[in-house]
Amino acid sequence: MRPSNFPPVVRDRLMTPGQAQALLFLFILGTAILIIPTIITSHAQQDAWLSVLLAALVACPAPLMTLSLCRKHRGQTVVGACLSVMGPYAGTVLGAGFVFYGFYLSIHVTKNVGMFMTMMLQPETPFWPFHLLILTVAVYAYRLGPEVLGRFGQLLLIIVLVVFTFTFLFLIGKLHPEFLFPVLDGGWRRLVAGAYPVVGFPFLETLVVCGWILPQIQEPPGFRRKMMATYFLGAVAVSLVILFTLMVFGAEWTAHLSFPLYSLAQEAGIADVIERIEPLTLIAWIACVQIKLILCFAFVLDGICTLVRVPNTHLLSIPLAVAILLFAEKEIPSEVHLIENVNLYWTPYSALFGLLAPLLLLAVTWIRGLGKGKSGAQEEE
Amino acid sequence: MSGIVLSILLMLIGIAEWRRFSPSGPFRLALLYIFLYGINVAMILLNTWDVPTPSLGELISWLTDPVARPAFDWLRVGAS
Repeated sequence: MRPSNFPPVVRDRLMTPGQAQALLFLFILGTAILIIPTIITSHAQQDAWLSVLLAALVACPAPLMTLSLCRKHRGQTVVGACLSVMGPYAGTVLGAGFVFYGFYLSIHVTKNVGMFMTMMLQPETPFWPFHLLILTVAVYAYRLGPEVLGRFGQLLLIIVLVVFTFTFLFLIGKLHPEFLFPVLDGGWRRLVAGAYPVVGFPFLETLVVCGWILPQIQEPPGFRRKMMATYFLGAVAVSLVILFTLMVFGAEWTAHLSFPLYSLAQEAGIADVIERIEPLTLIAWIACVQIKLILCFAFVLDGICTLVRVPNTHLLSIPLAVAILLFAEKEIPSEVHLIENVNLYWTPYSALFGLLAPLLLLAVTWIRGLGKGKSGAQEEE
Repeated sequence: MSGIVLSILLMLIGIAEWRRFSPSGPFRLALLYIFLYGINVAMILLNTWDVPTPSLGELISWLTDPVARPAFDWLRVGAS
């Protein structure tokens, strides 16, 4: 056989657990901080910030189960675990479902960027140049491997934290805590109505990170606990963004803003010293979205690699990016469509892969373990 | 139109890359490569001829609607 000059997958250059946590944090902020405040406030009004925390609590079994599942199957990805548990046929069907989920999420993330840019910054420019830019970075980052992605995430996390901290600090003079009252005015059901779309977007989506990350790191003891802590930190950060938006604009106004975080950044500043810091916030947001897209992209490609049993899928990165580019042009024709999609369909669809599938896989793993334990005991007798 | 030109350009880059690396991997990889490009070319041609392209969102809506709509309506009615 002729030797291949194809770039090898270097598996010994992995990311650190801290970098994995940074990626999860940025993934949760991702597109959610820009879109979620409007959606959630239209349902939960001034209790929107509480709805986020409730949603995070409801969806927390998703990353927990996915991490447990991957760990039980020798640190494979969730698609690899599907094949191990369900066998080659049923496992391939379920694994393909996971891959399709990641693919559709990539389309959503890409479209969100295009939609934001054309609505707020460059209305005359079509979607595709923005899509092309972030997809090019995604292809490049995927090819460089997990170590570089981890460092990229770490670097961006610092930028995001600094920018958001300054944005919040500059808003302190404009906060109206009275906008948050009365708490739970609409009862628990309104709180749950607000939490419903957020369960799927972004909290159940974390299965993409948790179902991909384990083969990319050298797992230290307590890694699952650290990832869960990061998950809740991400939830607190999203809740904080909504809390500040509500305190600046009030529930009624927030529910009618297209991109509340952008409007919030426009308000931030110290009179005559620092004004209009929204470009900085925009950079931080793009950083979060870029990380989310890269992770979805890597999840899909590594999933395909596992399903088709090919050594690596670097070659498929360009055609996949082109497919995302083409589908993103046609899918989600407007913001109304996007909001309806998130409100109605995204949570049940995400629950299928974030809750039901991992639960099923864990149950089958457990039953098989029981069977093996019994047969082992019988052999010993 | 510019989107189509760009897509074709990207595909040419992809094909050039295949020739450059000429992987000795399994036949499945080549099949998958052709399949992905097939989808891309089909999408471009459908767009060129103004034929409606398959919507992934509609597939998901159809799949989840029986559960999603009653749950959401119940929550909305209770919340309002």
